[in-house]
Amino acid sequence: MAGTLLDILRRHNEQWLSVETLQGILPLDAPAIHQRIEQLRLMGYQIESNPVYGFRLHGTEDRLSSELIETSLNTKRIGRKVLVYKETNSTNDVAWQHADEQGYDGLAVLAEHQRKGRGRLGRNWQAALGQSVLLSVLLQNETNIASAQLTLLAGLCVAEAVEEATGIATRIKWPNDVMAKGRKLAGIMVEARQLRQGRCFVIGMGINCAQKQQEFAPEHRHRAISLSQLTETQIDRVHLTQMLLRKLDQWLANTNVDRSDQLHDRWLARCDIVGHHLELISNGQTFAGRVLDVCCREGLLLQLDDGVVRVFDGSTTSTRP
Amino acid sequence: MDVDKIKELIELMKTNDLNELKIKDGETRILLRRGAKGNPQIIQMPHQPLTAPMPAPAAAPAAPAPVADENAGLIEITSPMVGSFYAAPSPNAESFVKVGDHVDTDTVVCIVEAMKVMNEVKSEVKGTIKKILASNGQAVEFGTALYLVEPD
Repeated sequence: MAGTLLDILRRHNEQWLSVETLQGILPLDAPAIHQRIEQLRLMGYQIESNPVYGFRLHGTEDRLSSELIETSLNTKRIGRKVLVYKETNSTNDVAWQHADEQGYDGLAVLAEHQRKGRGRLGRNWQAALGQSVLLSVLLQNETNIASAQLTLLAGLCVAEAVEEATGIATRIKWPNDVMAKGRKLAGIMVEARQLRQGRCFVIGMGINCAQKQQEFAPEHRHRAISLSQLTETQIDRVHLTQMLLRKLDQWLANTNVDRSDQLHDRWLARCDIVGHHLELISNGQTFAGRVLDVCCREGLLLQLDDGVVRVFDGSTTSTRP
Repeated sequence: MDVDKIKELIELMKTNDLNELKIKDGETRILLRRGAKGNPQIIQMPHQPLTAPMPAPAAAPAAPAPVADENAGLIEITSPMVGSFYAAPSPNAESFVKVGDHVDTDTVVCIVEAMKVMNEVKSEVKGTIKKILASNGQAVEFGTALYLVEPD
């Protein structure tokens, strides 16, 4: 319900709305409206109140909230439970804390700010307050899907969700970076653990939303980009998050059905890698060759310059075009 | 395909001065190719590269196998998959386990990264770490021995 009240306040940004007006639109009495306003303030919204004029919302910055995300989400598995933190060390860690608890399958954890977000190999994933969508999704007792598929699937979902929610064209860089205008827009890291109740995964995703170029760390600045740099329209992170959860749900709600061919085709449609000649480093050795295909399970299929065909796992640390 | 069979094939290539040998044996396909110095390279082909089948459930860690000779009585912790071995959660962090550490069946001993998925590997055996066999960042195969453990 706080969602609906917030929608009205946002539509009338910087304008006074009296309690009577709000009561006319919402099925709430005056004390309930005051209570919801307090909840929104706790979430970080700046709402001014006046005994005569009522309330007005300052600023257009959006805040994530579980109510807003859960409202009309309609997913079967992913996002049935949504937790939003103003600040946490790592959304992946929070998701793992619930991995042993019953009923947390599909849990979505979001944070406005992450202190120790992990990228691959302990690389720090930077995220200042309210600038990103930082989302971790927990899969409990998942035995149908191969872990390698999750990396490709998450990248595809992020790329498609961004494009549908914002109209910004996205591509995928092998194996798990989502790119726009040749720069990194989003990153993905999947973790797997064998727990008592079965194999569990946490898919961690980070999408740059509101960063200005100078706000990226100097070492990433030349290859990072955010959504707000690509569009004039205000980014609605709640809408983007919902879109992403629904995309993930389409693939993960029922993993009994084999859809790896479909994943392979849709993934390849967003990735320019097949047919390209590239160099990559595997186990300290450099290999050069032409990409023949991408296998959902094994990785890159490369025809090396000496004619030998070899498969390279996605952990192959660096590729050069 | 076992190692002896491959050795036999290598000998066959040498005696007949063959540069390339492709073998298909059921699900297994192997390409042997002699490099510049005449040393054969072994390339394990994927099963069905162009039409990826629905992958089987992620493999459970292989059952600990007993090890012979000087390591008698020690049990191997092996890699459950093909990937890169990491002894620590991040480059500057401390290793999950050191030689002399006591491990329980569910102690996390390392991470094997495959297709950008960080897979925690558990000890599966109760005992004391005697040897660390893999080096940080090393590419490991399914069944590669990573640690030797003296069971309790």
